[in-house]
Amino acid sequence: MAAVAIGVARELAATYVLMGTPAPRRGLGRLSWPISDRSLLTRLLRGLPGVDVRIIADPTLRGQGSEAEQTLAAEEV
Amino acid sequence: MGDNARVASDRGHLKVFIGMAPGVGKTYRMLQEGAAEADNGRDVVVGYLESHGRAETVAQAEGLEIVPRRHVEYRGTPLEEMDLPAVLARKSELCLIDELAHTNAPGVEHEKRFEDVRDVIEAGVDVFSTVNVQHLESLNDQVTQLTGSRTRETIPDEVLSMADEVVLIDLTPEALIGRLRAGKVYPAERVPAALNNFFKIENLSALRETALRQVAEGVEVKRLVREQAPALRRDEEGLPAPPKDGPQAIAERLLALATLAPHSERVVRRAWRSSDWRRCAVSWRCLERGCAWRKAKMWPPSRSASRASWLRRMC
Repeated sequence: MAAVAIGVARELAATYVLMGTPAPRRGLGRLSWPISDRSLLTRLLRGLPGVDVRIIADPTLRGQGSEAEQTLAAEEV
Repeated sequence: MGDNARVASDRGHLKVFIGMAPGVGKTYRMLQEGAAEADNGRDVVVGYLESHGRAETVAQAEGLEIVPRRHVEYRGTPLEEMDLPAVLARKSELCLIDELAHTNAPGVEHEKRFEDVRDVIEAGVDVFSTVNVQHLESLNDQVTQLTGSRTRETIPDEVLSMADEVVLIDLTPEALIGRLRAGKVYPAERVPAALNNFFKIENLSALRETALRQVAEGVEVKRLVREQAPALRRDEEGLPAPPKDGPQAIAERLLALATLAPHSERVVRRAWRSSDWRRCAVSWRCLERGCAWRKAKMWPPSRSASRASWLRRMC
């Protein structure tokens, strides 16, 4: 997926790439999400030097704790 | 030489003089350049001239051969149109055809003059033509919003894209209003109404900015296309490689990566707002199952009717 996105961005000479929040990983991948070496975001940043990459967040989630905080809160309950 | 190359070389060239409003001097400049070509020995004719009774324009056309207009009648009203068959039969080297966005009277070959122009170009004749920025389809909504009056005669943006050269005829709003007051644009009796409606400083300033941006964007696109085409190299992974010494985009170019999931609409909306705010081009690619990126649509930086309606659906 990253390879295709990089190809399209280069072909269009994009200076700015907008994308949604990467889907949470499962299993061990959660530990490094979203900035693991193989994540879409990292690969875009590496493959498109000089291009701004912006992640569009879900504003309805503002004010909620991080995923880790939510997990902790659930465990406490 | 291949067939495609031969066809391309047989086709005439199109040069369009674009302006922000009537009276900036597009027709005058077209005639001036046409006369210069004739002085250089080229066979030049005027296919259609709309002088609007402007003395300077009429004077500039003197010495150039004019193909007589065709008289047609529509619902009992006599009308005059460009005589396309006569222009094609004349087969000059260069033909000057005013008012590219004009709608022809019913009964002639084509509905729109730009279609006539296309025929002339395809016959191997170079064409100079004129248009105002508000006639471009993609800018119609924007110009209506800016000026409060809708332009009925429009041309698809592709018509301007097919031009080999686009020349902006620029004039400050103050200078244009000065010309209007001096009776160089409309007859004296039409001046007060024009000043109270279309020819307001704020309207003209907005139109001027729109025209400047339109031409700048066209230049940018052509520069990238012309210079980048032969250099579409691939890197070791087979992806299009970034240009090394090739052209770099001067204006911002946004790429929004979306999926068909509902939450992706947020990305599309945000990209639209960003492009609007930055006044730059935006492209969308939609990820479908199988990781194939589907080209949704690429719009110019302006607000186009199609973009607006599509985004309304998205929003």
